Amino acid sequence: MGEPVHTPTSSFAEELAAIPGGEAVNKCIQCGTCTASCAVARYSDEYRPRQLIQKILLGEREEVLKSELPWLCMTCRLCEERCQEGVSPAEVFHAVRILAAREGHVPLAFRQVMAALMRDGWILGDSYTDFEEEDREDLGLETDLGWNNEFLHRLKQYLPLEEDE
Amino acid sequence: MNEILLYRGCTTPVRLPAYEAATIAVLEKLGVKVRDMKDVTCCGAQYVESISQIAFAAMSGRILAMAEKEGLDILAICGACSGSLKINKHLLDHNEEARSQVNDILAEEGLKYTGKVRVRHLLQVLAEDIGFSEVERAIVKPYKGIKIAAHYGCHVTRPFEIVQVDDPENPTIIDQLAEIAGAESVDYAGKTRCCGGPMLAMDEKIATKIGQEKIKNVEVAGADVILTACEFCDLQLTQVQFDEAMSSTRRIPVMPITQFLGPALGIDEDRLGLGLNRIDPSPVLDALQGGSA
Amino acid sequence: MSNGAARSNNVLVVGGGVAGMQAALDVANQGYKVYLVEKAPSIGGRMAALDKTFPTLDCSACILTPRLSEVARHPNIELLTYSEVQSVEGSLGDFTVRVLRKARYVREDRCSGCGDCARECPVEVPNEFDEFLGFRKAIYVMFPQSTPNVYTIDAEHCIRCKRCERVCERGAIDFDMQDEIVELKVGVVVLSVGYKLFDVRQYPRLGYGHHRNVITAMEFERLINAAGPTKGHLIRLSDGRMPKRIGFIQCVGARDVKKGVPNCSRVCCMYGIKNAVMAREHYPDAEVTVYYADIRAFGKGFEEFYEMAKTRFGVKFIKGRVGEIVEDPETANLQFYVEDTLSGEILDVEHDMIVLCPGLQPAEDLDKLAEMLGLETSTDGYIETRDAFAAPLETNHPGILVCGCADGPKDIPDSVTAGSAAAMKATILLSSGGAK
Repeated sequence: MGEPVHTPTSSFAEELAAIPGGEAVNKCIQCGTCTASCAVARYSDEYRPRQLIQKILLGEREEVLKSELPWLCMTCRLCEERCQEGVSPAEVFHAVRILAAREGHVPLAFRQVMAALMRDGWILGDSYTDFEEEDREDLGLETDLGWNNEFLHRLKQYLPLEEDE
Repeated sequence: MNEILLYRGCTTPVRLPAYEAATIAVLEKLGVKVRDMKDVTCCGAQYVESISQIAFAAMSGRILAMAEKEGLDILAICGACSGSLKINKHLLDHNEEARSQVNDILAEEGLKYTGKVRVRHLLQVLAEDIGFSEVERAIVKPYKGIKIAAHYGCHVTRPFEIVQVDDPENPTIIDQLAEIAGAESVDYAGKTRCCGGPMLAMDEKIATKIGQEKIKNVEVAGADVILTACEFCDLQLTQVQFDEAMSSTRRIPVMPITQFLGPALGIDEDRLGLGLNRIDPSPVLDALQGGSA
Repeated sequence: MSNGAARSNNVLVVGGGVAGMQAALDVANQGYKVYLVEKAPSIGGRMAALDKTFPTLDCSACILTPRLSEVARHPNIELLTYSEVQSVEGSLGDFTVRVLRKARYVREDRCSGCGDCARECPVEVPNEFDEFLGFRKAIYVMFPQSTPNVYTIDAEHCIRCKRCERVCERGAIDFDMQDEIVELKVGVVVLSVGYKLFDVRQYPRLGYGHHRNVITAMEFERLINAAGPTKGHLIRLSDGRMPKRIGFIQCVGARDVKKGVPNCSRVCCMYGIKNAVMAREHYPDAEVTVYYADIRAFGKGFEEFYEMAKTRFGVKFIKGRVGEIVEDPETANLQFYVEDTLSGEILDVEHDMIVLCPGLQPAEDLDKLAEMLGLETSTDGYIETRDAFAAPLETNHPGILVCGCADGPKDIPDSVTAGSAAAMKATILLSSGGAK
């Protein structure tokens, strides 16, 4: 008979509060300053920081973790600067992303960049062509950028990503 | 300070090498020798940052530990790199568990993080380590009759408690430097708003609209050039002006602050890579007293 | 402790606002002598500047001025205006207070308040009573019913042309006056030093001081006040036109952990609503909107007033705090985004006038006064009372009481009640011999 009824619970908010960055989520008074300051919210039909925090406070764990919305925060931190309760929606959504990543929900765009990063040690290896090298040479800059592409392999165990990308 | 280690980041060396060159030239002119950092990795901003806190901390930790080995502070010219290094430094300095976890990882590289070195964003080096009066003393060819709009970038100035660069609600370092160089700085709506750059990963259309909003506000304020302190912002504010929604005949030049200061300090234009700027900066250079070199 | 001969049954009330005046009257009416010290040239405090009070919409000056006369006429009250407490020594029952009586250069015993001097005075300065929106002369009274009704010369701006002296028929001007220290012996001290408003310039994104039509609630009060700088015409400061779309922003400098003011300021929701209602009274065709996170209408008649604001007066309320205010350089109109959190819609709104409603703060230099008197202050900067339940008017210093906004934000009725309570406490201390 329609959608299953959601029972509000504070367990998700508590779970997030245990991740660094998510601590202040319970302080949110739902005043909307964050959304009023958010440039992404203005141009997006779906992204609304206050509403996303409301979903967290109501315990909509599955929906939030599987959603793309927390990944739409561009981390400009204007919400954090203006929040009068000391909540940082940017940090809260950061904590959500960490949790989402642990459960295997990472958007494709991020997985693609991570693949390049793990391979090269930096993310623009594919874009550094002869043209760029020449420009650097003309400017008297070092052309061998010397990126380390081994260290990141030590961190693989902390990065819950599928290998196939 | 007479020497500093440059952490370039991923984007500048490939997409905006002129910023790197101009920064090195300007700092050297002002008495700070810049040394490259080799064998480093990406700082992990945005991507690794969103996926694993320990991996993110370890990446910055390694860069910081390597600087410690040289006994020099780190110069970050990208806002995101500056943010990553500073936020992780803050974590490692205050959270024993994180520090010991990261040091366990670094030990395998023969490195250790103790927190000895500082992370300095370019604006801090110019405003604090070198100082406005030194910059003023070194100006040989000031600008005249040009209006600049300063764009600081989000990761450069926020979160203030950690990054400590300028007043986040009312930043003035770039404005002050430009005025020392003879320009007039104009205020514009949304000065502290984001350029939209980080949004490119997930939604290019939104990112472009955000950047264009910034350009429109700068236009309304009547500025002739936008000055930046982060290559990501610089590239974004340039790129959005090439979108079909924007005028192709009236684009506002975008320049990193060091590229703008360079000619005023008497540095040769070739060393500043001005020829590589996508939007022609000649209107700006024409405002140099005594003409452009 | 102190020998009987040094004991005093006098009371010192510091601060001549509505709480202090009530305390002074209640003590005086019991037969004790009161010294009422006020640092401004006139008593009356904040109420003298307000237009209407909430929730009754009484005319503030109308209900205040009878009090001013009562205080001035009372045989047991000695008014020391334009004066400040310099030091308090001694203990309960036996305080010695040194009060600096600043020179007004006008003799209180001769001035009749006729105003000839002010009409002659060539110097005009921005009038702090009007929130600097209007002007006053260098020789002035704060407001028409100033008490005492004596002019004061603002020494900082007076050019000593002496035209006032020449025109004063009663020879009340005396340029040879000096600041004077008087010593008072009192048994109890009552502090009723009031509050100051949060400096809204600490919110650069709201544009005050930069955007011409963003004003503070106090400036609004002066603009709608018939005795104010525009004779009660509410106008835009940029072009003098009548505003048609007015926005009120709540919690500016209150409930903000970032600005060091995490507490709620208690009165701003109500005064904001009251001002919004007044805006509609002045311009029934104007669109008036209040932007808030919560409306705290907790007192007697408050909720009804809030309802009336919505239904009878047509004030709009949006539950959402605003982002950044942007000024249109040509029209001087103001734009911002706000989320209507009840519908989830992001609104792009334009107003032609915005009123920022600042929170209350401890009075200017309250920390210095507290240090001088050895009083504890709480983390929010107000005077700490000894016990919220058992001793809500007493401080840690026996014989020094506190009332009104000196110990926390209060509205007018609560301040008056506190003044009466402090008076009672004071006289109990005096009549029971004081020393404990």
